[in-house]
Amino acid sequence: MNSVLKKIGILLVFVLLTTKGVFGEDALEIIKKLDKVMYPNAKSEILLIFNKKDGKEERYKLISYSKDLNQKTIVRFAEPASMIGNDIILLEKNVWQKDSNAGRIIKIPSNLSFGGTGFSYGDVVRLNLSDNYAAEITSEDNDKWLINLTAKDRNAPYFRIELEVKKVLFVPIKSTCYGKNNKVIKYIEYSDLKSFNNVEKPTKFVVKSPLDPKETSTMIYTSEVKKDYPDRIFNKNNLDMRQEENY
Amino acid sequence: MVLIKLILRNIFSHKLRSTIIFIVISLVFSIMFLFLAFADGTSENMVNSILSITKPKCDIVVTAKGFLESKEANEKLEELNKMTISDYQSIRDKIQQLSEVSSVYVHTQPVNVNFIINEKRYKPVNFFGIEPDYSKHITSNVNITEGRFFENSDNNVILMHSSVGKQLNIKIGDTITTVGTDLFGQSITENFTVIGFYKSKIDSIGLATTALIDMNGYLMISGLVDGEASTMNINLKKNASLKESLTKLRQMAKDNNLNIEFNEFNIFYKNIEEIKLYAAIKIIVMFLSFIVIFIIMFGIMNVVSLNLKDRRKEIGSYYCLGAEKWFLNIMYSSEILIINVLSSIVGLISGLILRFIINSINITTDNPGFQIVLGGEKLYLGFNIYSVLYIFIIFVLITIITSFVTLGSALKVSPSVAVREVEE
Repeated sequence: MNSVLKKIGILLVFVLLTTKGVFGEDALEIIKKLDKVMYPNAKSEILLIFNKKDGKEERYKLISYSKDLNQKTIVRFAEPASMIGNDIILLEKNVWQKDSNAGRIIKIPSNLSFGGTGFSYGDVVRLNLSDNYAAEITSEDNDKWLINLTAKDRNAPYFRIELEVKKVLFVPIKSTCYGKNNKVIKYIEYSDLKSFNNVEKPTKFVVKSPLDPKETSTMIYTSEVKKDYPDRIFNKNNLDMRQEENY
Repeated sequence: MVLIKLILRNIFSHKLRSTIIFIVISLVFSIMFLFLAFADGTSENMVNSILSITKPKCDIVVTAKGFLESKEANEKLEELNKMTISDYQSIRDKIQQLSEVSSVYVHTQPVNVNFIINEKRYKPVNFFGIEPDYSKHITSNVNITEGRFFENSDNNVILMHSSVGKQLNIKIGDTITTVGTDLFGQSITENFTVIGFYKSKIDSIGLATTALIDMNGYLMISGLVDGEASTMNINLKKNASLKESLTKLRQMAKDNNLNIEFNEFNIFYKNIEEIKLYAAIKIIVMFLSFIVIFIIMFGIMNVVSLNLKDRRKEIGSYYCLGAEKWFLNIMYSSEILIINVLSSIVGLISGLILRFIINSINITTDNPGFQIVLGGEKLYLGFNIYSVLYIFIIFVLITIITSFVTLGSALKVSPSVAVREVEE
C-alpha cells in the first residue's frame, strides 16, 4: 500500500514538475497581472534621459495616452521643441510615427532605437508582454519569480526575455532581453516604487546594453492619471487632430 | 531609272550644299546617338554593378504562392517577408530535373541592420546571404580585392565592399557586430568575422551599403529557418523556350502540390526603383535630343529652302521639259531623303566608332557623385537598337516635314524662269 502511495506521490510530483501547462498558466497569469499594473488605461507623463558615451545628455518629455493594456497607445512629444509633432501611435502591434517635416505618417519597426536611445519604439509605447510572449516560471523565491518569456511569433520585439517579477505587487524588477542566438541585447532595471492611483509600481526604468556599455537610457514616469479614452481617438488621423485633449 | 539618275545628278551637281547638309546631319546623328548611348550605358552599368548582386538577372523567379500579388498590392514588408518557400533544397532538386533548366539558386532578401566595429556604430547596411549555389553566379560579378571568397564550412563570416574597408580601416580578421531587426522585426545581434573585401566587376559607390555573408550567419540575422527562402532564381539553357519552361515548371509545382509560383524575371522585377530612375533619365535625354533635333530641323529647312530658291532656273527647265509637279516633288524629296539617310548611316557609324573608342579608353571615377550619374565607376556607352531606331525615325520625320514645308513654295516656279537671263 505504502509503495503504491509512494509511486502515486512520485508520479504527481513528476507531473507537477514537468507539465508545462501548470507553470505556463501561472506564469501567464502573473504576466497578465503585471501588464495590468504597469499598463493601465491612463494618461502618463514620461521623462526619457539618454546618457551618451561622449558624456552628453539628451532629454525627451513625452505624454502617453493608452488603452487596452497598451494595445492602443498614443505618445506625444512635449520636449524638445524639435520633436514636437513627431508623435507616435501603436495600433495592432504596429508602431506609426508622424514625420512633421514630411507631413507623412510612417510605419516603424517596434524595436527601432528611439532617437538613438537604448529604448526601442516598442519600449516607449510599451508593447505588452502577455500578448507577445509565452511565459514560463523558471525559478522563484520568497520575493520574486524568474519568468522566461519566449516570443509567440517572429514579430515579437525580442526572441526571449528573462523577467524578474516582484511577488505581491506584480511589478518587474529586472529584465534581460535576448536575441535568437541567446546573446543579450539589453538589460532593463525597474526601480523607484511609487504609488499611482493607489497602485504601487516602479517609475524608473534604466536600460543598458552590452553592445553600447558606456551608454545608459532612463525612463521616468512623473505622473499617471487613470483615464478611459474612447476607441475612436486611437487612429492615425488623430495624430493631427489631438482628440484626446477633449477628454 | 531616269528619276534615280536625275536625283544623283542633282546631288553631285550641288556638291557644296549637299556636303554641308550631309556633315551637319551626320554630326547631329552621331551626337544624338552618343547621348542615348550614355543613357543606355548608365542603365547597363546599374544592372551590371549594384543590381548584379541585389537583383541578379535570371530567367525565372520562384516565390511562395501569392507573393507577387501581395507585393503589387503593396503589402507590408513584414507580411511579405513571412511569405517564404519552405524546404527549398527539395524544390531546387525537383526544378533541376527539368531538362530546360541550367541552374537554380536561392537569392536572399537583404537584412538591413546597423553594425558596430571598433566600438563605433554605423548606419544600416544590407546583408545578403550567399548560398553555395549562388556563389558560382556572384563570383562572375565580383572581384575579391583582398582576402578570400566563401567556403562551405564558413560560419558567420563577412565580405565587405572594399571602399568600406578603406574608409573605416577594417582589416581581415576583425569582428563586426550587427545590431538591428531581422526580416520580421525581431531584435538581433550577431558577430561576423571579416574574411575579405570585394568590388563589383563594374563597381559603384551604391555597393558600399551591401555586405555579403555566409548562409549560416544569414539565418541568424534574417529570422528565417534552415530550408526557408524568400526567392529562388532559375537560369534556363540557351535554347530553352521561356514560355514552355514556365508551363512545365507550373505543372511540376501542381503535380507535387508545391505552394510556389514562377514568374518571368522582367515581370517580377518590373518596378525596380534604380532601373526606373535611369529610365526616367533616358526619357529626359530623349526629350532633350528631340528638342535639339527640332531646332536643327529649322536650320536644315533653311538650307534646303535656299538651295531650292537658287535652283529656280533648274526647276523651270524641268517644267519646260514637260515634268509634272508630282514628279519634281518625288525627285526633290528623294534627294533630301537620300542625303538624310546616308548622312544618318555615316552618323551612326561614326557614333559607333566613337562609342568603341570611349569604351576602350576605360574612363573610371572614384567620385561618388559621378558614380551615381554614370550608374557605376566606369563611363560606359551602351547600345540599344530602339535608341537607334528612335533617332532614325526622327530624322525621317525631319525629311518629310522639310519636304512638305520647303517644296510646296519652291516648286511654284513659272517655266519662263528657265529662259530668263536675270533672276528677279
